[in-house]
Amino acid sequence: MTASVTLPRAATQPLVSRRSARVLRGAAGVLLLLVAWQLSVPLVGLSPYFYPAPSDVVASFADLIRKGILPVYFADSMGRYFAGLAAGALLGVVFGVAIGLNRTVAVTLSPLLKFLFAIVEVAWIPIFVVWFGYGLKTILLALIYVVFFPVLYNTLLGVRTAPQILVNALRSLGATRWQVLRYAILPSALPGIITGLRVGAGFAFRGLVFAEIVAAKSGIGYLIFEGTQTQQTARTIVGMIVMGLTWLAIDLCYLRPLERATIQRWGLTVDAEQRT
Amino acid sequence: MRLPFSDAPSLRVPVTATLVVIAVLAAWWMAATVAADRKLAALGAVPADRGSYRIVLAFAPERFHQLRLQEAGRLVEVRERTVYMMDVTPAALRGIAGEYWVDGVASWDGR
Amino acid sequence: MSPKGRQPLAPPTWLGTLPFLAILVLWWLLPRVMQYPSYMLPPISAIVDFAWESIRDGSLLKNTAASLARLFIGFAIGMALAVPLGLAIALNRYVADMFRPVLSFLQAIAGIAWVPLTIIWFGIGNGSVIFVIANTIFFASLYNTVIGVQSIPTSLYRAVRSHGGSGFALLTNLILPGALVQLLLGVRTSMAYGWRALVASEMIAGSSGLGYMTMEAVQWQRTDVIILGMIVIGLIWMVMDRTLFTAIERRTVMRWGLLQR
Repeated sequence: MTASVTLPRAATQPLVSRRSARVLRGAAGVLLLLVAWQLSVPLVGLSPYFYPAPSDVVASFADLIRKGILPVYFADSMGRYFAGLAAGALLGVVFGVAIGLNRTVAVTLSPLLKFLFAIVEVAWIPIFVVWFGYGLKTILLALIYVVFFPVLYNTLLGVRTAPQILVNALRSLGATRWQVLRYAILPSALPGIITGLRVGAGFAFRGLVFAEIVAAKSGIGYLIFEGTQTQQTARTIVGMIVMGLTWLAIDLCYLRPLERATIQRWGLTVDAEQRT
Repeated sequence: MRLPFSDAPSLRVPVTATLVVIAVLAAWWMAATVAADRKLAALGAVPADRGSYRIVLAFAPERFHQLRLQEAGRLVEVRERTVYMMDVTPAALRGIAGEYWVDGVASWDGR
Repeated sequence: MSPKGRQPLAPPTWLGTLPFLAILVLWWLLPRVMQYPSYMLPPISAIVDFAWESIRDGSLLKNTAASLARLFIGFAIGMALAVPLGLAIALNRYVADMFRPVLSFLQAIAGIAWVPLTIIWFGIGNGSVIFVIANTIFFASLYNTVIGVQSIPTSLYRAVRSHGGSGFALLTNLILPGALVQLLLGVRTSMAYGWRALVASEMIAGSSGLGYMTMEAVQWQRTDVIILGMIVIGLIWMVMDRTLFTAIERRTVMRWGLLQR
């Protein structure tokens, strides 16, 4: 929309800007879905146990807030999520750097790590339950496990691709190993770390819900499960919606800005290849 | 204290989001403290050690509430919207009174 | 022998077996050094015994086959639904704008979160598991289809048009293959999510399969079954990854020069 000559508005600009038009269409899509859902309830003719209506879900949402259940469950879930994410990421970075810097360690540990990663995190839940019982420990361990590997691999990649020129330059100026780490290796590994974090955060979010369904007595995942167990399926849907909105919030507020900040800063591009 | 990457404008969103979360938690905690004071004031004197109380809710308690209250003391009976408890320490009582789904706390003679 | 130059020799690859040997040694030593209930960590012999037994009576094969069958059925259904919708979204701006928010939201809850609902709708068993897998694959494939179509260079469009092709010819000769490329590229990640969805949903809502076998054993404290289940799950994924995905990658993507190795 570049008009260096000013023409009357009708000739150059649409009534609604292009961007707002897209947002409106998106909103219309959401609205259409909700209306279709609400109208389909009498058509489908099943009880709210099988097929709750949006009105049931809204009522359930209000009920859960009024009774103080939703805030507590939400806080519990978020606490577990971020604790597991932080711990897993920290371990992943530490091991990634350690392995990346030392060739022998890398060759020794790689096959084991590859095999462990192949045992998906959900497959570890049963043995965690046997060893640590139901509850916080099991959930945290599952989260740490699932965040550890993507962060590890991507950190490893980032460390290995640190420009050797930089490292040599620092060394020739008399930098200690820690200084080389801090000023050359870590900064160039950062985009990789953030990518690993983003992948890990996604896996961890789904893993959290699974772990809570199996091994928790509170939390959004537990809410989703409990709703169907107590004939309150509307609560399950509330849980699912909260889950979706929470992920969108986490992605928009934390993951994407972090990714943009590190990649913009160093002008590096990360391709989809690194993402597993 | 210089935050890392404070020169990157795109980090404004995560930092703001975190601050908002902290602010919400702080506000919640303050509201709970104020509410606890209000409800306990209606109660009058609080015995220094474990006591028995009648906890009145705005609705019939669900399993969630019973579990929460069980952490604070011994649940003796549930009658409609009222929960009868024993062996509740003052600190635990304060915790219960702070919950916004608790309408009021009254003393109970244990019978 | 490599010449003795300035470069250090690469560490030998057999080092990679050391951690496994270390684990096996520790595993053998532990019950002799510490006291603990045997269900916590059964001796290696128990696992080998159970492995042999379940291979002999065919139960391991049956469970594995059941799991893999569900995976591929769910994959097929998910893809079949995702590709048409993905094409519609990629080709029509209005459809895209309308559906995007809804689909982004639904993608955030794809997979496991649906299990409790599916238990109500389909009960415990194949229906629930396949639904969850299809759900997971659907969203992954949808995303890949859209990206795939969007990344077709305009020059190719012009090339097809200049040969007099339009509409159906455009679709079959240009758009579908373009989407397919991205789908194949994304098969590995979609399958990663799909595999997790399979194991997880079998654990909660399955009546047979590897996930079911592993979770069921918790009730009976048969840790040997659990550990064997984990090992088989790991091995199958490794095999699938090595053979299927790299094979696909080699035949398609590298052949067409999209990826250099």
